Amino acid sequence: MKRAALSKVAAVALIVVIVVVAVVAWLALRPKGPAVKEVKIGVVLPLSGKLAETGADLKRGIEFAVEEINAAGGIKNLGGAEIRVVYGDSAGKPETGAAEAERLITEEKVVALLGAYQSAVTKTVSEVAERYKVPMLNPDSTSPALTERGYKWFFRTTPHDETFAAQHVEFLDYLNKKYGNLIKKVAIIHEDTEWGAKTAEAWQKHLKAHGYEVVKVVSYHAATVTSLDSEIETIKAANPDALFAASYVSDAILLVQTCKHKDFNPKLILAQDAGFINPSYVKEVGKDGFYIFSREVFNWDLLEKIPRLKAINDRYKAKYGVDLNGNSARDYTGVWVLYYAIEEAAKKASPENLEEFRKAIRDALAAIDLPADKIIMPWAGVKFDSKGQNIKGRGIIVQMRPEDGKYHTVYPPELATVELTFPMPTWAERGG
Amino acid sequence: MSLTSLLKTPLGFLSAAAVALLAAAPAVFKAADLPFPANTLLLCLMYGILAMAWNLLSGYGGQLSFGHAIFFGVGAYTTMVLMLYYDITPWIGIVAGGAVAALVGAGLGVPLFRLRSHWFALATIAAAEIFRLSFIPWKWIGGSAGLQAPIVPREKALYYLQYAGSYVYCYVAMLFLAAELVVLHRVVNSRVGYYLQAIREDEDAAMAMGINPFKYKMIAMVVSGFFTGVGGGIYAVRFRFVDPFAVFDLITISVYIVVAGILGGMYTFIGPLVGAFVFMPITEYVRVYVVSRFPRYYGLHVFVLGVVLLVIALSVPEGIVGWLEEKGYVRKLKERW
Repeated sequence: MKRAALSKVAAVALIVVIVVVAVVAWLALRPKGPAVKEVKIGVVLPLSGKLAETGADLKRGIEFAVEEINAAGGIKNLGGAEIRVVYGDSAGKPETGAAEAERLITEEKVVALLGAYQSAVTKTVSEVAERYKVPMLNPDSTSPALTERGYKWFFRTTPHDETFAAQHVEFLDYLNKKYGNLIKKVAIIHEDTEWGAKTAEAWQKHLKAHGYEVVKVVSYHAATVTSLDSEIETIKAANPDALFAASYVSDAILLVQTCKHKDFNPKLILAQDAGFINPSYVKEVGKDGFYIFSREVFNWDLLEKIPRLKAINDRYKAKYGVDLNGNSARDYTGVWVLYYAIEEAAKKASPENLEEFRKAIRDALAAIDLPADKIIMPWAGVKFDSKGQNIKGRGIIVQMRPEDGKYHTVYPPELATVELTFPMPTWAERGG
Repeated sequence: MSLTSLLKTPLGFLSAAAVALLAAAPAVFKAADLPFPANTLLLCLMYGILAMAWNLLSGYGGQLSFGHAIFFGVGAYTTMVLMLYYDITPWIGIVAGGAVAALVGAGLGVPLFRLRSHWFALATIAAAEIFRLSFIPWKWIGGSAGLQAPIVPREKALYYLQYAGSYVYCYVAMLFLAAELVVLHRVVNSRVGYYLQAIREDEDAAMAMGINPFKYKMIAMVVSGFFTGVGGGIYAVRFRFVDPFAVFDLITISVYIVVAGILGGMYTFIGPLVGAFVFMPITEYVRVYVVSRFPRYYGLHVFVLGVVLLVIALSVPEGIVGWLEEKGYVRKLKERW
């Protein structure tokens, strides 16, 4: 009995020793050092979870850009080395995104990170990148706070919510100049989460700076709102020339319907993207949504305006069966921006010294200045300020047209595909 | 049984070897620059803490909770708020997070323990949703945007418990897990533990015997809440970010805790910890390797995960440790100690 127990102990000890030796041997012998046949980029996206659909869309944009770059001869300054993307699935969670970023940086030895769509995940992923000194390009998160953290390794190509607010006010200036000073008083209605509240704040700031009078600010809770009657009544009583709205889908529908019922006729209704560009909003409001303006990052009719975009979209559609949209186009652009930076970095450093190469990419991003014709977004180009924000990014403003019930680009003027209608006709003028 | 004689039994030796390997693992991962296994180990330890805590209330006490994200979230927020707004080190903050979560548990116990069985379970889900929804508009603690800690200079790393990767946090989690094991072992093998099991088996009979169910459920809730809050605090310092959606999540917090507990064996002492050590590596590795090998089939890993869980649930319905105990491979822990 004692002997049996002893041999069991010996067996267990032997197993433990073997395991330890095997682990140590594997750690010592596993292949090291990347050959410069390829350069790895780490991409963190929500590939599963509630946002898996969006993640798949973003991923197509990235995949397509990488294929194009490699087909065109890869990274020329590295003798045609190919770009390879290693994906990390954030599952839509900040903590998983952070862990994936660590894995991509340390185990996959990526030269740079790209992602991560949701602002919360981008926050933790970029924190890891900053800590490990790895450049991160963020093509798709719009929380203004992201570029206010004093990070040195974080670059954002997309304009953020504050930029959009500033652009709305510039649009008012443009209308006043072109159509005679019709707008002086502005009212704001917004849903009350972070996004709506921050947008309303930014609007007030920029409106006041441009000499407009903010006559009323009203908020509501989008998740529970069932009526906006009293909100629209108070706004109507303040008699604004323009109404600015930050709403999600069902509340946007309610808002438009309430304006009609209460016969509220501002000269302009200008929305901040989100609910107003959702397909189910478009379907639900029908012709009541005509003439309403919204901010967008991208619009289908840009294809006709930007020749380069048309050609790319044709190939994209042939491959995936869908058009490029605001999400896939922004991530597509992000990969190209990163590619240009890698080409620059390759002049100064080699990926064999990973640390140096990452630093060189960071410096190249900080110094980058791409003209508008190098990208497919409706931006003036790509150039980062000291906070890492692209100062040449901008949104566009679209108006839903009665001709086809679709949104058409109306601003900035050089991208406009139709003449805008202003002031909006009253509900009576529209008839029914 | 003394430590030296414990080492002489095969199982005792095996446990001692496991503990030694566990203690060495983060250092080995750090030396080899392997953050992902380290993070997986941390998740095992963290969910181990959570599932053990949950098991006191739901396994021993029979009060099935699907709302443990409440304690987790409150603990995470407390640690973060103390650090960011009051400059209090997370070494204190994590414990404070546990304390506040315990208080919340006591407060919630008053209405919730008026309900029994599935009604109680449903009410815990509702309570967790209420917490999540009420944290979203709460501006002082960051609202829906959440709170992120700034990166501190290296000389302050120890005070703010800020390190790259999961390595250091593995040891922090081990420390709290050890404390939890000691406390829970005492509670379970005391009168409180037996009363709880009596309440679980038949609450009315227990009452007839003179046991006050409300009192003992409340004790279980407070202790369970405390350690779940501690788990939340560890999360907050490790990821340095909290928002209502991540820390009050029904699936990845509340339900994962329940899955780890049931998988390991919910009527056993050590089962939930074992469950976490089985469940978290599966979720993590399946996600990483399935996604990177088959990037076109995003979401496939969730399916694989489901199948693995289904197989385990069908073959060992009483949980891993429950099955081992039944087969006689492991004797009940309290008989040995």
